[in-house]
Amino acid sequence: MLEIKNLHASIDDTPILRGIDLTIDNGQVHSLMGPNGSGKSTLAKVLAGDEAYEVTEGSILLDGVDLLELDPHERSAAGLFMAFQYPVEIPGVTMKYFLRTAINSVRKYREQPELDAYEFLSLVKERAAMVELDTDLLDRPVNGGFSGGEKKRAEIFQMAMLEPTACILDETDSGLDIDALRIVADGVNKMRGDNRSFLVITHYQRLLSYIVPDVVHVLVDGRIVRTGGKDLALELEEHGYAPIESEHAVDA
Amino acid sequence: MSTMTTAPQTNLASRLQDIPEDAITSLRLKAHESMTTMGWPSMRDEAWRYTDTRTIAGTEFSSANADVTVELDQLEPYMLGHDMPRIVFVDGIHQPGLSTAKSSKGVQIDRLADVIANTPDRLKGRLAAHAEWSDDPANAFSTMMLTDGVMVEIAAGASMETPLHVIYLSSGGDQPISVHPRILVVAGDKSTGTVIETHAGNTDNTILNAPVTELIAGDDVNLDHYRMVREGSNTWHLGDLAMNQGDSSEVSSCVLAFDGPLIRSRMRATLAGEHGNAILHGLALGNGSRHVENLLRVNHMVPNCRSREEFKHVLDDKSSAAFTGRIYVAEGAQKTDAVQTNRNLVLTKYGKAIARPQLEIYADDVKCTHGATTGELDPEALFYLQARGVPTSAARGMLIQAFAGEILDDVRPQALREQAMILLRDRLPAAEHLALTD
Repeated sequence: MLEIKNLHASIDDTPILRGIDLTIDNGQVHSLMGPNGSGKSTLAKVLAGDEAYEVTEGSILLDGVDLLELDPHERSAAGLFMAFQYPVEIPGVTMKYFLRTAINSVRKYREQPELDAYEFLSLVKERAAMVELDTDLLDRPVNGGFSGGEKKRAEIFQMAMLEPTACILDETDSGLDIDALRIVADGVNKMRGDNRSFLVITHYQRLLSYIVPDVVHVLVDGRIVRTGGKDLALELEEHGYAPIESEHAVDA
Repeated sequence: MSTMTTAPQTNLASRLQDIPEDAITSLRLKAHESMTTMGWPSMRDEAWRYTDTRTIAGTEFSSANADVTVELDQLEPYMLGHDMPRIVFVDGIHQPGLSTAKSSKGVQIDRLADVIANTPDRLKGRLAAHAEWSDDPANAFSTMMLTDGVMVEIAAGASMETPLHVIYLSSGGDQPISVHPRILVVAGDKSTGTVIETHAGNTDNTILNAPVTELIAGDDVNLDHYRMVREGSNTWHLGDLAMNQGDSSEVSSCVLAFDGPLIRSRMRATLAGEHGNAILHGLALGNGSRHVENLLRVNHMVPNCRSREEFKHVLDDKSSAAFTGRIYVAEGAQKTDAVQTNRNLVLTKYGKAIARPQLEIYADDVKCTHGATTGELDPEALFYLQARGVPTSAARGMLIQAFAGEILDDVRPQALREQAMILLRDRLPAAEHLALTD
């Protein structure tokens, strides 16, 4: 269960998040929608522990563990996974080496035995199939020269490898064609389960036709201004964000 | 050039008198004369601006004690497997008991001492013909003291079956010593070969090591050279390398600077035949107060040649690195294609990197590019790795390794590449988190 309470965060003294309350029970998929600049990606990065942002108030608990007390790698080990909107290319580090280091670091932290080469490769094979990812990509540098679709599939693949309990998908649909979108969504749906919660951040309703959310939130100016069922996404698709934005315009 | 101090020269001159006369006495005398004229370099000299040699200039060096004995297990950490043929020198003195290299068909491997004594004609127009000693006190000094070393002569059309490993181990003693390693490689037309030199010492004794290597390649040659520097904590390394290549030859040299308080590498490549390709690579790892100096010059003397220089410095603690690279394109050397890059990864706020690219071009249809960058680890890449569960120190290690890896990937002999990788990992702050295999 992911519990965000009264979360305020700023970058370079400019407040971006202005008091977010959001609780996602295990087994649930929540969607966070909102216009550009509303703070959606900031929330994702703050959850993951990006030091560029300063949390000025509030708390984030994952299964009772205070994430704000943890470094990014510890949050990952504690069960948080954030799929990046723009996965970073890292020349010189192969995907396989990176992933094995990541998974064994996480397992070590969780006091699980490390995977040997055979176990690791078996798991890679199984999980790569979930997102129809060509395992040859794993011999390439991290995200190096991947197409947009490959990058996003690789993110979901990593998510499947690390078996998190809370998954944050930051605009995973951006830059995807319809086939890639379906593959990515299928991968996510296969991971849905009673012990896992999802926060799907998106600008468009499109992804939510494939990953059907239990709850939809609308973020405007760093605050959640509306919460509803999956129909709320359709309403936004039809009318756009403008009516909600003008309704909740921040007073100067 | 300025004269810094007379003390070492008096000392040096007397040392020359100790060397018996032989076939290269006149060369030594000329080198001595140059040395005396130039004086020991000071930081006022342009080529030595970033190399502090005051301690060296103030030290009286003597020659090594010939009685030093070294066992195989002391050599082991520096070897590249037991099978790679090697020639071993300890404090500049040849060790027949530790050496395994033998001449084979088309590949003549000799001690320079033997060549000087028995067949000095083989040295004519070769030894000290390309490595400029008249403008470099360290080389002049080394040449003045030259009595032994290795000569490799690859016959036309012949190939070295395995790389040759020349190990110069330093041990020193109570008195400061100087060592003057010399390697001369002559590669005939259409020949191939690889020569690796290691300069190493697990000692705190005061040592000046001034190696000079000359690579002379004919036409259609493929020759690779590597210099691994793992000197002791008080060993000053002032190295020189010269390569000269004929038509359609590819000659490469890579210097891997890992240990030692001062590692200076002067490298000079001369493309004397058309369609030649000169490759100069370097990787330096700086920690403590190490200073790494790379001083390069590529001479494009004829048209249609290519040169590639790529030097990377990883600077931790208070270490510093200076890169000076001159690309010289002679009049008429059209269609020259020269690329020079120097990238510095500075890990602390005390690390310091200096890059000085210099172009001297007398032809109009050429492509010469140079680029120098100095930066820290990419924070976005660091965060990405951390967000996937990789601890900060290991993530830093991975990125440093990736930076250095681009040079190490081009190190062709597997044993050397693996040794360099392990040395790199051992010296990174987060080594214990890193798995050794992919």
